[in-house]
Amino acid sequence: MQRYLVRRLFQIIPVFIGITFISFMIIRLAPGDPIVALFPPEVLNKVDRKVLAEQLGLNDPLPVQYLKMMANFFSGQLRSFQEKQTTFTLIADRLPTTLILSASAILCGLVIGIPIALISARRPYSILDTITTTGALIGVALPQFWLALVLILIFSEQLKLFPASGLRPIGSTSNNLVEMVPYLIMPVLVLTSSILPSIIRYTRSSLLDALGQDYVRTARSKGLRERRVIFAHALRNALIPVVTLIGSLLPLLLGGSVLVESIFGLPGLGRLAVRAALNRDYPVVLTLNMLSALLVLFANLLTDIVYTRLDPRISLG
Amino acid sequence: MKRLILVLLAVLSVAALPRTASAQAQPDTVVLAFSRQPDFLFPDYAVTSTAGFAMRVLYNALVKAGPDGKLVGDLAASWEVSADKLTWTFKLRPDAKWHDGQPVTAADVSYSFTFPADKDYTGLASDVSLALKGAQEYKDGKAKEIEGIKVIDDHTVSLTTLVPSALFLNLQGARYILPAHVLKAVPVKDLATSSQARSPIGTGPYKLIAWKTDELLTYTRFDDYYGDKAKIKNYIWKIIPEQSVQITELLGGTVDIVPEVLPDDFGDLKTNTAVKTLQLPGVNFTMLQLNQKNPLFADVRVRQAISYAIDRQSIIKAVGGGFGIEVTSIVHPSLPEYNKTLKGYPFNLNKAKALLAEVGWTDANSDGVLKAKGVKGVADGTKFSVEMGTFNRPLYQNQVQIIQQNLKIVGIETAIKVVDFNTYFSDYLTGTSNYQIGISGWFAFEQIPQGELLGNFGKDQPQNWVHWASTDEFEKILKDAPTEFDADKRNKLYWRAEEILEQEAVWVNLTRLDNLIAYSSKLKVPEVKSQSALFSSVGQWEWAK
Repeated sequence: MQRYLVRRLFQIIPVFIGITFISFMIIRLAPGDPIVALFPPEVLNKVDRKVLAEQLGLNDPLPVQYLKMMANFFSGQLRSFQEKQTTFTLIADRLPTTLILSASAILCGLVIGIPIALISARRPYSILDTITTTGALIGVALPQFWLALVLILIFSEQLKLFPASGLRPIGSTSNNLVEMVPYLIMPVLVLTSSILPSIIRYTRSSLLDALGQDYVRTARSKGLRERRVIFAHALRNALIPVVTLIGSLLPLLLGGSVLVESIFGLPGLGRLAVRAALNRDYPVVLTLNMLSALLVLFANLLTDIVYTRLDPRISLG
Repeated sequence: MKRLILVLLAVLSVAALPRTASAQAQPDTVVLAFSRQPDFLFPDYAVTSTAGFAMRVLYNALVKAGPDGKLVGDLAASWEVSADKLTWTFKLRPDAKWHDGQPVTAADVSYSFTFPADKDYTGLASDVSLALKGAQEYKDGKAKEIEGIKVIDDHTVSLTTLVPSALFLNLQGARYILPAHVLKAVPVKDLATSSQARSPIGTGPYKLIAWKTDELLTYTRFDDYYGDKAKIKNYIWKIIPEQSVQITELLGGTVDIVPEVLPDDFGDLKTNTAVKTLQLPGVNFTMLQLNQKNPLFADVRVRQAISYAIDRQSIIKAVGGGFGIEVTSIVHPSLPEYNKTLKGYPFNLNKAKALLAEVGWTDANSDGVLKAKGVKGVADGTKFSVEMGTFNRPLYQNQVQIIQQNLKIVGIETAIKVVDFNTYFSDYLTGTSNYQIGISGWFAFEQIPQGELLGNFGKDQPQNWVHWASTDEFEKILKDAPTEFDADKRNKLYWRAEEILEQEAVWVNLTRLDNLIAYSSKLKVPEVKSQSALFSSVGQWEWAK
């Protein structure tokens, strides 16, 4: 196991370099000038562009700029062009919000989705099953922004149950999680609605598959209670594709959900990413790319390890 | 199943937790909804209009515009100018204090005008300093201080310019004064990342006490403010990107004022008795930029024809919900330099066609597109077919269609090209690209238009993107105005400059959509002439009893 881990960690390095270099070149070669992005056209002629380009390091050849940026990244000194703060500060300010949102959404998705899938799989093609699978289809078809606005209309405007936007009460400056709960309910609901259908369908079909296996028939004929058959035997195997699904959902953690963040006014990474890309804020875009790459690479590693726990037949090479 | 119900109950009971008390229940707080947060609160580096609005309650300059538009003292209690009109001596108010309690002194003024001349400075105020005597030497490293800045005593400072400047009070006088005791120790190249960017120390009626990124800016009343103390204690910016959510919250009472209402929503709000509304002439206006390096647009009659061909009213209706005006002068209507007498180019297809025909553009074979015959610099038979570019912001994209239709009627064929904002200003409009028509916008500053007139229209100016060759008279006005000390005479000079721009149709000015504002009917807001003045007036807002 240790040898495997070390080997995988070593593999991550060249992949990481490749991803970041290609991202860097793509965004640098796209048309657009970061200095123009820094200033509205009305004030462009007031600025000493030469001095600024020098200070931002834009006069070096591209590969040199890449290396300098990477060096700054690892020394924690990489600064955003637009906001002048270090990209770490910018991201650190917003990461908790995005993490809470996405982790809650994935958790809700699992907590709601797996039981529903279980119920469906127990009685396939029954009325209940049809309802849940149709509901899943509807959930995937609903546009997030529409659902968000409808929820605000119903729960904030009409029923006055939940606040329409923000992350905490107006006067508050603390990071009290309990205070944030009413503000997170609707955003998490919207995010969950977009991943719930996939979780339900994957789990349901993989459960159906598992429940049709010989060992399940054996377990039943041994006289075990149905609940034990499912939880102790079938579910573990049925979860493997679900783990894959979650592994692919983890990058959501970093991308954040721009739509949900914009509509509910949550200070997350999604809004930062979009703004940075539109404003050619290369350091921020690069940092987000790098963190996202690292996350995906580690998520893959994690899911591979989890597989071995779930299914003893799978062993690490 | 049982567990599911329990979970649902738990979730709903959480909803019973006390919600944000509506701001109306807290008479000491006013909440303003805005869709974006400021980039910095350090004036030299803050370039967005959002930052400008956010800083209005934080900082003061030597002078400010009084209620009738004339300049009155702000941090300066009085001033005088020398006989040769070169040296301005200011006596500062002795009671002005910084938000951290330190007194405002002449050293602060000296510092504020010195560092923009530093060689490492990349902010926006360098021209304010470089106009002072000795500033260039300081920048070049030949002097340790700026000769033209003299601290006479703790509350007296004099500034000397290189040439007599009638606009001194409007330009240098409007520069926000910054705290020397906080910033002096910071190297100039690191100023943008100093504490002043996010935790600014100013002199204004409010001070910033908290900034939650992308979420909330919390200001509180500065009790030692030298002017009238703010009436409402807490002033909060709530960042809500989605405008329909802003309106929902305004109607629900969790937000008290929305300074940027969309035209679609404004109609309903006007009739809603729970809110009051304001319609103010916008600071943003749009225009067509016709590249005069291109022989197609070199003739002024062609530009005038295009101007007559555009139905601005239908743009205002379609894009602005009817809330806006046709633009005549590029200067904001609230300024004394605004020329009220300009007529603009009212929609007139016949005049447009006649002018084009006069130049030599005719549609001989009636295929709907004009062809040149005897047009200077254009080969006979050339079709009047051009590319029209703009950037992908809703206001501009929505106008493109209407303009294309208007031009088609007079026989000008246009192919639309939409690029993103950054590419438009870094590639399309500028540099070596030979664009033909660009639909652009301008954010008119609410200060004396000298800089804008010179920068956009002066001969060979880098920002003269339409490449207008200017006229001797126009150039002379721009030279004379800054030295004309009589305000009335100076205004007349600017009026004439605006008239020239209109006659020459240098920009085909389009529409100035109104800034639409809605606020709780229980909030009392003083009368203001522009959106930025609204942001300066926060100290006077109060809740009705």
